[in-house]
Amino acid sequence: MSSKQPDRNEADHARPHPSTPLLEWIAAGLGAAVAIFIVGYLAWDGLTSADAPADLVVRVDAVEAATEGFRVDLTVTNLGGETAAEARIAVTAASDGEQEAGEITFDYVPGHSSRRGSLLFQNRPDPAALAARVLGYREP
Amino acid sequence: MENPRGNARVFLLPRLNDMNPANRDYALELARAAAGAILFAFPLLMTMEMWWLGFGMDRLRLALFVSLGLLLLIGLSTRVGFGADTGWRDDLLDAFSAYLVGVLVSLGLLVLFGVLDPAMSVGEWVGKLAVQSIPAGIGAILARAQFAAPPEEGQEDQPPASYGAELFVMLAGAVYVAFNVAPTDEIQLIAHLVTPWHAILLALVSVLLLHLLVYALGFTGQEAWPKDTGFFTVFFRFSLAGYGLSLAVSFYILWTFGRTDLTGLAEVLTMTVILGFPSALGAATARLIV
Repeated sequence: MSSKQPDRNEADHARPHPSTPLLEWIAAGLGAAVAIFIVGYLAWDGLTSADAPADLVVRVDAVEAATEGFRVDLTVTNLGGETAAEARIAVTAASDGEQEAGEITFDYVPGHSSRRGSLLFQNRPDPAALAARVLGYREP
Repeated sequence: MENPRGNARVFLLPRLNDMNPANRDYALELARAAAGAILFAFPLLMTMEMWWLGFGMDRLRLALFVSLGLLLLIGLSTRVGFGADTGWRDDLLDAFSAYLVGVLVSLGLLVLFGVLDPAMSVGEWVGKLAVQSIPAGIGAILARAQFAAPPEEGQEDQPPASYGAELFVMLAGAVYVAFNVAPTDEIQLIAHLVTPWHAILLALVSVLLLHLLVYALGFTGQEAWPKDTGFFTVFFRFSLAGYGLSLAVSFYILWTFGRTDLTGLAEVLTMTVILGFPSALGAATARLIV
């Protein structure tokens, strides 16, 4: 069998596959679709929400006993569009009348994204008395 | 049916034997392109500044960068392309399939490296892929120039490139090589370390290297000295023009990455000259490769 198709180019090109293979059309079509999606998405994002200032919120996910001390799991979420760099979060906890404080830095929190981290405390923090707040961040 | 190009392919990809041979050959071309994209792009895929730029840099500048990068891929495919090209339609197809290969290679490796994970937002995925897709796509195209079997008889003799084409090849090389160091903090750091005299000297060294690499040191692919032209003509028309392009590319990449924002003119110029060094090397080597 021979699947070599007749082609108008065959005369000037003595090549093993004179016609454009179907696979080439598929690959190029997918590539064009991906390119349009990427450029379109970025442009849409850039024109709508991406330059909204960073807007960070901290949530305490869990307080659990670790091998040494107690672990407070945090999620910091950036509701804005711009990336927050070196976002510093301070957490204060009261337990048995004693105040304990900790601080953690997130290198980058991209827009519309979350990052997780944990702080360790000596005494079991009272979940009701845990307070987390964002101290500040900078532009990347 | 018998594969005229030898049995290795049949052995490597037995299941493709039933395919149309044109499709089978093209699948191998794509696999070679992917291999090239991996080899050319892995340093950038393993550079953390590139991941950060993926979400940190300005979205519209990134969209512009990807658009211009696609034009660059189309231009490059007219010069090297997948297989022997027959026209602009093939060049377009080659450029977009190379882009697809670039995106897929970036996607696969970034997921393997744990840089992309499902918890991240769509914007972060798209941004990280977008910034990597162009250098990986360039790698996919260049790989074919390097790895592909030598062209058959009669395909080798390309018409001599026009002056515009020569400049374009230098531009592409400058973009590709400059990109490998542009995202790193070292460019800014070096700009802080040097005095203006260092920068001037570095600019002179860059031009000199650009000229020597292309015309004097006898590398494979060295450009023949154009007939009936004096030193100064060649130097101005090619080497100095190439350096000018390299500087323009450096500035564009610095601007794209946001390095020029809120930055004084002297600092911007110093960074441009420093990034102009790898750009010039890229412009020179591209003329050897492409």
